[in-house]
Amino acid sequence: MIRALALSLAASGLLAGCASQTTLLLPGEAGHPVGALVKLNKDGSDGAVLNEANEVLKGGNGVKRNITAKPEYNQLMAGLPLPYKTFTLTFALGADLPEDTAENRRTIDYIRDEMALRPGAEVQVTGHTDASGGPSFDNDGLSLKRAENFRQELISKGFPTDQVSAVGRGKRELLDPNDDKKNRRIEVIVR
Amino acid sequence: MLATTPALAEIGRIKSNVGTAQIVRGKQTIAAAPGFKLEATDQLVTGKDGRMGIAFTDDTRIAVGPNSKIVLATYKYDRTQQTGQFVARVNKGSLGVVSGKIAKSAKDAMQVHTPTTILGVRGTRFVVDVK
Repeated sequence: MIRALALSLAASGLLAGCASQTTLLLPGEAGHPVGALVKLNKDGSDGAVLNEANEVLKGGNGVKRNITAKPEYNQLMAGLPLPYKTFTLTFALGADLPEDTAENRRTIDYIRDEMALRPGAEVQVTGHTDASGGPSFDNDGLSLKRAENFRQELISKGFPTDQVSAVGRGKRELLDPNDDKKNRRIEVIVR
Repeated sequence: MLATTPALAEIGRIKSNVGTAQIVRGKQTIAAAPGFKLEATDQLVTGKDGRMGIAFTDDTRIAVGPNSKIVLATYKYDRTQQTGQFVARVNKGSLGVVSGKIAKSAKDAMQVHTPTTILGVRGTRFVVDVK
C-alpha cells in the first residue's frame, strides 16, 4: 500500500516534469483590498493561506512574505485586459426606457469610446428595479425588459448584436434601500 | 421571449494575443484573435513568444504567459444571481488573474488547479506559475 502510494507520487512527479510552482498574491487592483489564496487539503480544509500582498507560496506549505514580484510577473500582469467600465442610466417609476436626460443620451457615446479602447469588446446591459413593487411584482421581468430595451437601442444605433447582451437582476442589488430613484436603473458594463 | 444572450456557451472573449497563441477545443486548434468567444473546457496554449489576455462574463480577467497550457476546465455562471463555479487548470506556464463575481459568490467557487496543488481563490489579484 505504502509502496503503491510512493510509486503513484513518483509518477505524478514525472508527469509534472518535476514541476516547480510559485503562487504570488498581489495587492488589490486600484485600491481594492487584497484578497486571499488558500491551498486546499485533500479533504477540502484550508492548508497554507496567503492573505497579505506580496506573499509567496512555493511547493510546500511555507509562506514567504514581502516578496518583490519578478519582472516576468509584472510583464504577465501588464497583459491583462483593461478593467471593465460601468455606466448607469436611470428610469422613471415603472418605466422600461431610460429617462430622456442629456446625461443618459451622452452615455451611448461614452460606451462607444470605451469599446474603441478594447479590442474584442463586449457590452452587458444589466437591468435593476427598486423594491417598491410588492411581493407579487415581477421585478425580474421589468429589469430584463429595461436591459433588453436598451440593448435594442444600442443595436439600432449600430452596435453589433453579438457584442451586446441583456441581463435582468431584479431587486437583488439595491444601490440605496432608501432611494428608489437610484435603484431604478440599468448598468452597462463594457468589457 | 427575445433571445437576450448571444451564445449560451460563451464564457469570455479573447482581448489580446501576441506570438503563438492558440485555443484547443476538442480536436480543433484555433489561432487566438481579439473577440474570439471562449467556451468551457477550452485549452489555452502559448508558445515561447506567446501571450493572451481574456475577459470573462463574470468580470474575471486573466493573462496567459509564454509556454503555457491552461485548461478552462469548469465555468458555470448565472448572470442573474451572479453565482457560479470556475476551475482553471494550469498544467504548465503562468497565469495572472484579477478575479470577478464567481470568486465572490461563494467560498472557493473559483479554484486554480496545478499538477500538485488546488488553490481556493478568495480574491483578487495573483499569479500562478508552473515551471
